[in-house]
Amino acid sequence: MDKLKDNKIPQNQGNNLTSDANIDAVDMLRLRYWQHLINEMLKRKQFKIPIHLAFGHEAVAVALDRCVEPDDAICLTHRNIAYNLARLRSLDSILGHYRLISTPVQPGLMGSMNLAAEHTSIAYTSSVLGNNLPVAMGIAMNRKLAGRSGVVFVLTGDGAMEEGAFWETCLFARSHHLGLVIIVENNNYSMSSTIDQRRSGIDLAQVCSGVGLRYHHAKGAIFADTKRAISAARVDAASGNPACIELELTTFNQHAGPTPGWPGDSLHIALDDGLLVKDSPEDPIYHIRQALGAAMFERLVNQIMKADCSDKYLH
Amino acid sequence: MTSTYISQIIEQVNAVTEHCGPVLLFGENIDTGSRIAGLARGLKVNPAGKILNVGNCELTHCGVGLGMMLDRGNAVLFMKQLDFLLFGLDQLVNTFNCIRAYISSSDLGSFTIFLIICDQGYQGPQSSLNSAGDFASLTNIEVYCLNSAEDASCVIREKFVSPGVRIICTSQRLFGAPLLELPVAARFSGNAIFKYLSGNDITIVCFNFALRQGIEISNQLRSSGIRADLFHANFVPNMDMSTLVESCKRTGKLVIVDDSKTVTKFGDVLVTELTQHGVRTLVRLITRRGCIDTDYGVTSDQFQYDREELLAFAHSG
Repeated sequence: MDKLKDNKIPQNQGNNLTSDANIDAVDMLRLRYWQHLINEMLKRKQFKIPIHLAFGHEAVAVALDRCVEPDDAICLTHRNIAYNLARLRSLDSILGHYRLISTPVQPGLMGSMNLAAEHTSIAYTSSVLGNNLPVAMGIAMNRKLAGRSGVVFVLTGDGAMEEGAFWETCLFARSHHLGLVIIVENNNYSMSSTIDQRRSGIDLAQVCSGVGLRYHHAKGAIFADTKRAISAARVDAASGNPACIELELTTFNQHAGPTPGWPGDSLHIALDDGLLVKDSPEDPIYHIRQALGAAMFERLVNQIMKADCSDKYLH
Repeated sequence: MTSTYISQIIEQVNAVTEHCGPVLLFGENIDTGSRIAGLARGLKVNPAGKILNVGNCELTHCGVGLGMMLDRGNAVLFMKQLDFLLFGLDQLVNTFNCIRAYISSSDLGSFTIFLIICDQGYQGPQSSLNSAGDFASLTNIEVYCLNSAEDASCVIREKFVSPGVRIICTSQRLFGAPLLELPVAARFSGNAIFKYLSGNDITIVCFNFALRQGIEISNQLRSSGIRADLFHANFVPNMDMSTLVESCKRTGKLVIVDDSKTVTKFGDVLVTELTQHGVRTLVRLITRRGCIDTDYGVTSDQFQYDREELLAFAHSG
């Protein structure tokens, strides 16, 4: 994949993307492609472990990757695949964990739900709802006590923020001025229940206002919007003002395993249909195609798919 | 001022925290009011450390401690009572399992939970939970109950700030009493087993906060010519119980003294060990079973036993 970064990305004369933006686009497309490959591998039952895909989270994962500084730490959830891939920049490394194949280079096998790949700044990943929030605060607290720089990013969702740990985290982080950024991936779902199906609404902006947390909001499918929010929240946290970002986004796949998950499943994702899962602004890949234009988009996609040939993984 | 169980323990804590470098000592009311019923009264920390008063967020406190440890920092959570720790079990079980699955303890900082078991009586239903061993069973982490001056000194000196996680418990019914000065004759498996007396006639193993009863029983037996091997056992994962098994093999009689109110007792593990080793031992349990009718209301909550029956057991066979 680094070959792609080294390659000169063909410039589309009709758009105003800089080459940095093209690299962002390549990373998001590659992330989408890798998830398609894993989804197809899941359909072929290539793994013994459950895997929670994150179709629709590519822009957030790449945006966070761009905003993380060397001294920062990241704490993830069970749906960590996009972040691990974005930080690792390697599909094969993650597959080692998923296939539970130990090598001298990669002796620790974490499976999927607790994957915190080494050398990625990912300090902790929890499969328990809301569980990573206090741990992230502990890391932030330790850095404050030791006088070290860096902020801690912790991912959570609209389901986990129903847990008491979320409230406690907001309160504790603010009380002790911790360098913490809480990123809420609000995809409207907790497993298969929508917010309307399971609870009353939560005005997160007001919750944050109530406890004095800085609040940011972004459309999680739009890379620039998300990156801007994460970057601003990082500035807040680095100055001792913990912040919370609410990202509205769509997770296109089933909660766990392949999509479709069963015969007759209304959700359908297939690599043969192309990288785009939904031809709408909900899909981060839609925005890339809009920005690049159809011809440039196809050329980039072909280039990415050629670099990590599907035959290697699916046959 | 008279030296008490808790004031001596705090002196031992200060001997560590005044010299250990960066450490966060945190807990609700740790530096205000009664200082957690005296658990943190007179507490000191070195200039690189910090004493931090925090709110009522026990789940979060456990996660914070584990997060600090994960980041190679040192944290001690002071907690008013054992039942508060129920809120933190998710962190102690799940988070610590995630951490220890992939990271060697030598690469971790320290997280200690230092708490009170409210066993002084008249505390109502919450004091029905008094078993440190229950937390050992759920978490499979080190759990220590400080009974005597010397076992407290060993545990605090070696474990209060050291890589990994542990729970260190104090007994509130002992807070005003002098700290037991009976010297330790030997210790085994780190700080898991402390031996206080030696004898060839009967083995007495004490759990939780029952060492004083164990000493009382030993003294009664000695006056009738029976010499006891007397132990206090903490829980340490993978601890070696062979010392206890050998003692039982030699004496042929075991008395388990455990003041905790729980269904699954740590002493049962010892009995199972004896059975697995084919050691034929007569066993007498002096315990408070959770599976018999229990008064959950406001009571004196005394740990009592039938002395005559125990003497008869000791003289039997």
